[in-house]
Amino acid sequence: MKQSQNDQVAKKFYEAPKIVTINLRPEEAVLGNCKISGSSGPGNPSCAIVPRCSTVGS
Amino acid sequence: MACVAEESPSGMWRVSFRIGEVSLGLTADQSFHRVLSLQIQPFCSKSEACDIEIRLVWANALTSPQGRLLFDSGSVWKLYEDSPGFVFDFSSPVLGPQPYKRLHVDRGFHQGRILLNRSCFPDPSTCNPLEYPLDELVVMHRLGRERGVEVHAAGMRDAEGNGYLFLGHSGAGKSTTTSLWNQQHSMTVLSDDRIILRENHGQVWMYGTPWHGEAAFAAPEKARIERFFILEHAPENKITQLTGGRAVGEIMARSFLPFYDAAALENTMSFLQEVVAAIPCYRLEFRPDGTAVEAVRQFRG
Repeated sequence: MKQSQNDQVAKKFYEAPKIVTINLRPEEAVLGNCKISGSSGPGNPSCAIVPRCSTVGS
Repeated sequence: MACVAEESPSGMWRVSFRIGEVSLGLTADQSFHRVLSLQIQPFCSKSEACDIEIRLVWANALTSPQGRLLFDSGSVWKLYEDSPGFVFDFSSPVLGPQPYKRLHVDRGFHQGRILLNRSCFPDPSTCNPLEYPLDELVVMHRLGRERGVEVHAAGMRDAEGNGYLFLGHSGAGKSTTTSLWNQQHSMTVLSDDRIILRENHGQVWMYGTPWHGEAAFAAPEKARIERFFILEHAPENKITQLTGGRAVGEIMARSFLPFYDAAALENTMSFLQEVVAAIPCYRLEFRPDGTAVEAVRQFRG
């Protein structure tokens, strides 16, 4: 009896397979694109494609 | 830690970084200036042998690579395949017809060599060899060979050590969410735009990265997360659980992946399936005000 109750608890509802479309955004999925200018990260000065740098202390 | 280059008696210098548990070492001779972006400097680490070792070399000219074109990013870089591995070419019309930089790297992303085109850098002190997007590309490709992935997300940790992760495309509300949380609670923001996910003994951890967004948060910190939230603007706050396959798909759509690399994609897909099996994923429709913060903090789903 106890085993049967456990089986019922463990039983999951059947869910029919379905196709769901999830859209990618190519302009965001590919690295190298810039969002903002004048800062760093994806919007760093290199987004202007003119290398400008800060020098690390040594 | 302070980003101090180590120098060897042979005149070489070396710096190393650790980003999302991926370590990267950069070695060069004294003809190269130690130029690093400000945002990567907090990620400097002490690593004798890194996961990825890169050597800098000058090139007098860079002609077209011989390998097969695998991918054209449409921005500054193209990826080629050659017999020992991959070649990333970086070009810009501003710097002339030749690539201004080239990265040769093995298939496992263990060893690399950056060739800097001397003709594009008449002043070497302006040349940052790891400049975005090269640094991020290297780490992203290496993650595709490990158990990890970089996602488009804002991540933060509260004073009790609880991690909160909000995934979203541009405009979904990552910066808004970061700002709202920061105003209401004392949070350590790991990043407002790019987070690395790793799994460790069944726990899912997020790591800050140097590649921040508009709010410029980038911290070399980590936090354990117990759920994913996919951000979406809405007139009212609402939290809805996403089931396994849907959750994996939604996270993948907000991940940075090498789409041209089947093995890495399969590895990442398998990683995300495990991660989603370990912790639940929710769609967070939110109002851009403080009520959204409290809705998440009180949520116990």
